[in-house]
Amino acid sequence: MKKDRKIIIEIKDLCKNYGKARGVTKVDLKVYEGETFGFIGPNGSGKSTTIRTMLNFLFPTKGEIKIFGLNAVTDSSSIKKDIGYVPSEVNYYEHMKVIDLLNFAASFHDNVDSKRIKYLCDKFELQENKKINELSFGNKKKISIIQALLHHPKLLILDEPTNGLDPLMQKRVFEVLEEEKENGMTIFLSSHNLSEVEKYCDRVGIIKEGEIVDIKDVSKINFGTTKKIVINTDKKIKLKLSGITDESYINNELHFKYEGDINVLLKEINKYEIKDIAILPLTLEDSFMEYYGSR
Amino acid sequence: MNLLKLELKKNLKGSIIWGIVLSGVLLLYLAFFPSMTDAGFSELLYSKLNMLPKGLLESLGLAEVPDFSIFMECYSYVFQFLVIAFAIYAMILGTKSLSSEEGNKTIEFLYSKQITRMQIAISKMLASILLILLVSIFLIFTSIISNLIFSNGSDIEIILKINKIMLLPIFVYWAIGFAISSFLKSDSKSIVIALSIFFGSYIIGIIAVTIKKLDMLIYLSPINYNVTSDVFKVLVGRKGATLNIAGLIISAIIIILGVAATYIKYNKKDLLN
Repeated sequence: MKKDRKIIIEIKDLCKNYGKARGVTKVDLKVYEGETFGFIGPNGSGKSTTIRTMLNFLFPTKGEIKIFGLNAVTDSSSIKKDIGYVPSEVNYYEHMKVIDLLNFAASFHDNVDSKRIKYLCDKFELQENKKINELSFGNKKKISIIQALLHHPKLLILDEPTNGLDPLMQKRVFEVLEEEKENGMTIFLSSHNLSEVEKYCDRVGIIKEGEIVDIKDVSKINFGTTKKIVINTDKKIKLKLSGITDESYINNELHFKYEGDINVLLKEINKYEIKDIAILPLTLEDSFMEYYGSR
Repeated sequence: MNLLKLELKKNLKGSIIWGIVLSGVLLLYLAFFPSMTDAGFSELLYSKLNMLPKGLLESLGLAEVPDFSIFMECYSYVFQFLVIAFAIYAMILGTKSLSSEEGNKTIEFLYSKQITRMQIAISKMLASILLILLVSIFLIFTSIISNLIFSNGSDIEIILKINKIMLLPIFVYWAIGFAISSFLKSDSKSIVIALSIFFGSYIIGIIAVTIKKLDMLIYLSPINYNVTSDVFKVLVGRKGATLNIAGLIISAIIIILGVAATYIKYNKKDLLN
């Protein structure tokens, strides 16, 4: 199926060095039209460097990035006509009013009218006549989302888009993104919020220490019979069973993953005095957490 | 065009303030002109000036003591100090221009839009040129008014020529400022850098004027290539007065190199913040 779909982002053998410091060493990935591609990895793994190189904020040391089939360095300006970008940090001209900033953002495109600005401001409950320096971080974040969506971009690149937003607004963001997706918009979402990634992404790319270590199709991830077990106990217990992994104590709680017959596990636990037990299904978040482990 | 408008809007107030302050200083000094025409005062002034060491007089631009009872001699002497202040303004404007976007981190917003680095640099250059010309208009206007008051408007043509020619050193420092701006990662030190470079070169220029053996050092100080009083003498055809042609050529080269360096550096610059 993917073979028939148009490639929107194609990154081949990307390497970006900052002198002695590592940025990214080997990034290869493809993002297809209309999909929501999650991009996750620990802090300093190279997520922002990859995004910034895609947007030509940085020049690649090696490799090539194509967006809409165009070179991200030489055709950067043409590419940006159809890109919306929501940065993780929000820095705008502080002396400006919200409406002036949005009009300035709109002036780079010929398909934005005042109705569109009003629609998005209403949607995100943002006061247009406030000065930017009077706004909270969350409201500035709303500006960054609105300015990125104004021109109905074909590709939306989001770097921690819901960071700083209240839960209601976080939900609203994805409602609006779903609306835009119906028009064929492709989304590239970098986030530390793994449940967000699990809920909204079609595929997920995992980057660690500057390299793409895995790309997963969210719908095809199968956890088998593995369960997540949490036992609350006053005394430390040691279960002698095969199939137990990732064992750890957090306060008075024993956390581990178990793959095997649940009856066998319960019999083993029954040998000890416990206060409480939770048997939980594994989520994508648990699966991703392994990539956030030791570096 | 949209960025050009934004830049003009952002910096207009500052330019108007600079224009008003420089015009005020010019008027303040020229207000002393009527008293200079008094024979007793002139005599006293020249006798005192003649008592000063030659080196000090040269460093003050008084190698040849002007006849302060003539409006244009008085004007061109005062104007050379305004050119210094104006050049400082132009250099700060240039140095802050590109680096302030990086310092405020608004550059990330601009870079994400359909605008090239080249277009950003051109918009900012055009905006600052217009702002410099605005300050110049303030000075021209004040100069003409003061000439009308004190000299019946007899020197307006020369005033216009002087103001035009003296824009050259202003744009030299503007271009140096822009080139520096393209290398900076933030504007936090831009004013310090601009002032250090300006006064560093100015002091070298004074040394070159006062110590004849080191006169070649003058080329490190564009503000001293052709001072206003010398330009005035050339414009009125005073005997022996010449322009420093090499200085004019070097000024033009610095402007071209400054602009070229800005484009080359800025076009390849990584946004690291």
